[in-house]
Amino acid sequence: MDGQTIVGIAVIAAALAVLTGLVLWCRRRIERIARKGFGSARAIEKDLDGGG
Amino acid sequence: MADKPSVSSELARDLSLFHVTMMGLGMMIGAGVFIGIGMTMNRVGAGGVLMAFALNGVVAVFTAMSFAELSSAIPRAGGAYNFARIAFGRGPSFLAGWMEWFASAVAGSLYAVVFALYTLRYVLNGVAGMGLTDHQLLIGTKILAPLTALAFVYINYRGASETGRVGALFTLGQMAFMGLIAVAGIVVAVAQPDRLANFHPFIKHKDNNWAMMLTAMGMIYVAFEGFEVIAQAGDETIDPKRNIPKAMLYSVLIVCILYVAVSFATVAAIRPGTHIDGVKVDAVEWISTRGRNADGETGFGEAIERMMPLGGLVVTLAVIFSATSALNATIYSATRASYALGRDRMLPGFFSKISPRRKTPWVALLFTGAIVVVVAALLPTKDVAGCASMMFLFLFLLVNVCVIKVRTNMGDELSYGFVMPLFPLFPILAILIQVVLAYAIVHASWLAWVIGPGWIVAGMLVYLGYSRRRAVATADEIAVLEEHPAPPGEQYRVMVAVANPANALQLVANTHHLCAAKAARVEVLHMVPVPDQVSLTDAQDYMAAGKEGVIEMMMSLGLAFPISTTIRYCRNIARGIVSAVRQKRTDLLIMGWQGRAHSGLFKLGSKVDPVVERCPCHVVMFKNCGGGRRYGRVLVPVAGGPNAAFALEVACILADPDEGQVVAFHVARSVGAFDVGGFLAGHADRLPLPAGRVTGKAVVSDNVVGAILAEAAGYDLIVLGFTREPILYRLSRQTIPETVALRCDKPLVMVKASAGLRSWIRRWV
Repeated sequence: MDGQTIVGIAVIAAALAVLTGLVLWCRRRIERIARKGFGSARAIEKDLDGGG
Repeated sequence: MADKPSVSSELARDLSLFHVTMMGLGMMIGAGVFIGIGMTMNRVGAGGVLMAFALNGVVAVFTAMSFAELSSAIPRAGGAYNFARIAFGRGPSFLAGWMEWFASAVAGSLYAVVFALYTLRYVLNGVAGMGLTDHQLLIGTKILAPLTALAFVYINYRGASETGRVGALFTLGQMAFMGLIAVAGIVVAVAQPDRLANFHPFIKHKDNNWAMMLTAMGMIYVAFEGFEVIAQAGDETIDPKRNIPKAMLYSVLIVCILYVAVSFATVAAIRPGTHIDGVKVDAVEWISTRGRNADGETGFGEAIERMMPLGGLVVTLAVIFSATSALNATIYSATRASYALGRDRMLPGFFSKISPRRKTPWVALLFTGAIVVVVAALLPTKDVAGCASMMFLFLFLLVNVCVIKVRTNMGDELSYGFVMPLFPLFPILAILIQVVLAYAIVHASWLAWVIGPGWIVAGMLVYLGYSRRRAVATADEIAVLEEHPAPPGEQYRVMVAVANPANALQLVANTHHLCAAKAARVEVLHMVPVPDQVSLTDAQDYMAAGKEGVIEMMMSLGLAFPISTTIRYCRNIARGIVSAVRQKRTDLLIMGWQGRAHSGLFKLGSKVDPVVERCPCHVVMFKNCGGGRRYGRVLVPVAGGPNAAFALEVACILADPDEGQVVAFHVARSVGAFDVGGFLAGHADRLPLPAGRVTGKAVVSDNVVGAILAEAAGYDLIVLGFTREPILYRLSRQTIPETVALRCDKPLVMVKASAGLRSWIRRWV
């Protein structure tokens, strides 16, 4: 396996990992917001930042 | 009062998370992936195809996050059209809906043609062995494609539930066949590892590999378009604030993984050294030169046919399922876009007519079906599909701009079910990348840049000639129940917001003074909050409770000033007030404040903070100012800036005109930090009191709040300017004016001066 192939596979794996991570991160935020109640963007951001 | 739409029925709300996810998947997995694999492989090689799909998935999820955030805050039918309307107004939103309608309809035509072509080719030539020529197949396709489109128009007419279920059925079918292909590819690669030699070189060697990669990504980005159709289902989805964002994100993740897997299977399908038609072929070279123009359009299908038993049938079924589910979703999307245009009178009102029996917008569906059928029957598909892709890119770009504008300007007014992390990083990245991808499409189809702008110009003409004069005002979550307009005239406009009718009369005297000083006309606004669970038809019951206070205020002020009243139903008082201020073009908003924060999230209260932050006008807020007396000694803590100057002006208006004294008070942490005398001299021309009765005072103290409160003990009224610290600073701590306002038990007025764009920039910088 040459260097170009290794880099290519790493790029694909990283892209899929980023994509999956973003979707899971967003899903977690959606669930947290739904639990705590919908609200303004600022209120939600403050709430999420405070709660992790 | 704005003309109201004549829609009498609401859309049925019966689509679940599963249904809307399948809807997005059905539209995304269309013809793009089937032609994209071979065409991309020609440019970037076997591994490059996988990279292009994986990277495109990341780019697509950036835009999906924007759609998800906006859809959670504005869950109504119309998608990008509604987002653009709320962010930028009627003109851009009309163009968004106009482009979305055409792009979706033409994409539907493409899918109908693909369906017809593959079906006829496999059934008539493959199974029946009729040996039809290309010309005969073309004629058959042009007959079958419109019939297919008509069939799906009828399915859409049957209603949302049937649409979602039929779409879900077809999407499940296509995913099953695509999954089968992906699994078969992995199995043969494991069983015969020598097939992995097709991945060498991983990326095709060209002069500029990364430029080629961007071009490839641009060409196959159309395969990721489709999740936006989920936004169109806002009116029909169960728990839309939660399910629509999830469905968008899930669909992008699922198709990205599926595309990468299917691309892998395509590369692994041809064993190295295979002889086809007696010639030893290089697999990647062979796949990427299939099709009439040797550009790899049919490389995917022809490769898979050789990989597995019944490969031709599997490919044909996969294409049939994909094309039909995409056709179903595009007709749905185009219909909803034109329905929204009709609902808001951007197009004639009959576009918004809903079938009493089926609950579907049948006129919009009829016109959409006509476009799909005509295009499928008459026009060439490749360049029109490129045109549709280009307009989808424009739409996505617009939506990414919208999400920034909406969050920035209306983030406190809307109720969000999802807010994206690291805002605004992802929409900015998406905008930049989409510009690059649009550039790539130019090189793929120059005709797209003729047809696309032509449709947009036609839309502009329709807007200027028809829509601009007839469009109705947007009334998201707000409805005017009763309105008495003021006599016409271009005077200074003062709005008095009455949230608690019991306190209305406390505002009368001070409102009178301010209106007299400005020779203003008065708008009395009473917002009636109604819970989400209560329908608009029951709002009258809530309105009655507050009517007396408003009537009394009308009687008190109506003798001296032109006055109008509005009683409105709303879901959120703050949002309702800000919307009314914008709609009425108010110059000054007057409101009362009880003097305590109601929630830990807000410094001065959930009604006060958003109004002060978002209102595009001057704001004056009274606390403990009832009784109607004029004030003898007025203290104005100042530290420079427009709010302090406006506070000084308001203090002079409220002070006793005969004996009142106004003191501009500055607390400095060091001597000479602020020139109070210079500040007064700079604003002397706007102060209605004689110069001798407006004096300055400065003290040095490390405890600014304590010094102001101590000084306030000797005064009748305190007038404070709101802070002009940036939002992020204010979120992290309580500011000096807020602390003084909360701790001061004297009559107190807080003011904010409108500063337009300068204010907007300053809030963030």
